[in-house]
Amino acid sequence: MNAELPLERARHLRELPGEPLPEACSRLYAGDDFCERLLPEAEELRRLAEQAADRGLRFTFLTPYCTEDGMENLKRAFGVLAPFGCEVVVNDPGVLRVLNRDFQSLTPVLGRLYTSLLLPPYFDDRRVFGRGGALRSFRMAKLNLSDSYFSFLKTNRISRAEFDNVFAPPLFGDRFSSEGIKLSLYLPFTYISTTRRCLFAPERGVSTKLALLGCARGCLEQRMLLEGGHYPDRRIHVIGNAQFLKNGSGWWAHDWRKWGVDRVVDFAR
Amino acid sequence: MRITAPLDKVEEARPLIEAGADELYCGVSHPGWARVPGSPNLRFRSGANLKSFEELRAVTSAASGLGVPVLFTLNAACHFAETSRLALEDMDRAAASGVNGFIISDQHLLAEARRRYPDRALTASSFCNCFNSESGALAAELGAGRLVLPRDLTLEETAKVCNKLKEKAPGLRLEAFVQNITCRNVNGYCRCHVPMGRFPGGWRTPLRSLAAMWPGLFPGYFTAPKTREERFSAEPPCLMPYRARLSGVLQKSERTIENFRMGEERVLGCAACGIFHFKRLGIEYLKIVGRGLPTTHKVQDVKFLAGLRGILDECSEDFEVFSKRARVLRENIYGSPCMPTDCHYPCMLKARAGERR
Repeated sequence: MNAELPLERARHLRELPGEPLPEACSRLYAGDDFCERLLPEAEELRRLAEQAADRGLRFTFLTPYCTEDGMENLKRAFGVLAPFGCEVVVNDPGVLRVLNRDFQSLTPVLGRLYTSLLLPPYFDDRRVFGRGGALRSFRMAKLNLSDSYFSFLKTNRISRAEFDNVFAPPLFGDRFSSEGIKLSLYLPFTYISTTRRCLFAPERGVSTKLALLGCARGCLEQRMLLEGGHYPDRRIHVIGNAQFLKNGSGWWAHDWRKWGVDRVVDFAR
Repeated sequence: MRITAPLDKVEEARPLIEAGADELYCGVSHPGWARVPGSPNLRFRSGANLKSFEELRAVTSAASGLGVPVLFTLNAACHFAETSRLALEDMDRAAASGVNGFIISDQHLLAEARRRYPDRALTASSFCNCFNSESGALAAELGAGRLVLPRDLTLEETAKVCNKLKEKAPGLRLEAFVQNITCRNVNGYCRCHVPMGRFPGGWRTPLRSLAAMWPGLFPGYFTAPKTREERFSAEPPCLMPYRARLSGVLQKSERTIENFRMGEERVLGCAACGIFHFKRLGIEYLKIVGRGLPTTHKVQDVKFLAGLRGILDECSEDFEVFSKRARVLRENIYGSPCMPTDCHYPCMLKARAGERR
């Protein structure tokens, strides 16, 4: 990996604002990687892809895990996006199957729900790695990904994998880049877990189970912060149907290129 | 419909089978897993597994004598080279111990298990995250003969997946959770599975959390809880109480909720009434969650489902009659009434809430 090349900056947005994006931003992420109810309709997606092209931005479509109904919506969306030949971030095995079978013009990218289970969510912590011991322990423990893992990626046309900022690239060394797989890094949130019983969907005082039956997109108007508990000195951000830690850019930001990261995604869910 | 029951002690095999279990599933945790990142299955700690393959052999001997198959659980993702190697070793040792099949979520392990053991039953775990028929069909292509549906689907969504799978993977058998469903987070996409303990603040907190997950990599940092209080506090982050501050994004407003938990809702969810619909959908296996629960609880669960099956045979046309008799049976077996809040399926919860008005 050439450490001198500039990073590609991408921004996740629900719609393109009238004013120009920051100069460094050259890619638009649309869609959602946690909730099928937050996906744009196919026509809205076409408009976004066209607007992005008009403004010289490359386009990536984020997709979540999805039910049978969600899958039908996604197939319509893929049909609309196929002529654009853009990237699709995949977080569901069924979506990956559909893309590889029916939409060869779209490029699948391994989403962070796939990669997240490799590492716990608090791996950026300087207090852990700044002392050297933990990182050394992990390297000595041969934290190397198996050949079968990369075989899975190649079979499924994956040439990019996306990570939260959990210090993954240094831990895996040049394993991804040696297999020809590029890495993206999401900032600032690192996801902990996701639910289909969304806290913001049902009426107050009613079980979150009812969120499965319907949703008024209450998550776009509310946020929740959790304090105490397992992370006494950090807050958990409940945004929509997922929980996050805020990891920031991390103390190893100057090393991103060195470890194979060539894109940073500003995730604004 | 067949009842699939959890087991974590050798002596549980006979009472579970006598209570009506048609199949047992279990895992084995052994010291080899402390030396690699990851775990063989996602209930690695908390006494939820057998302690050795000798114990596994004793279970398979007892069960095969009574004509009941035993499935071996290897449902964690095994992306690391060392983890993958150890999982395959465990698979071979389990096969030599006489298990009848495997429950697997890792795609590579699934394909490899089919190649090595073409005569054994292969079940794609709920951790495969098959929320739609495309992913179910993919699991079948990789060699799974059975699929555990995620518990996060509604009955309506389950019906759609089942119906589509009949076309896309006609040979694939289906399994659904029915008892002790707890957490509101999606199992297969959750990073909170391992009990990590409640640690004081400061720089050691994240390090000790990592040590709890992979003790072999951080010798000396993690101490297993010994006292009852320590065990209680050694919970995953999702089960710990938080102070929640809810705020509006568009309109300025804020309220605080004390003791909020982001995971479990502190009620063992019951989807037993779902079997009325499962039968029509062609779901053949009823899965009880509960490795790590007391034996008496497991036996009660099996007895309850066996009784429900009997009721369903007598009244498979009228859900209201079935549901009323199911509630009576539940009270008789567990000694406590069936509460609407126990209902796993939101449509049933809503219907029960309507009844009370």
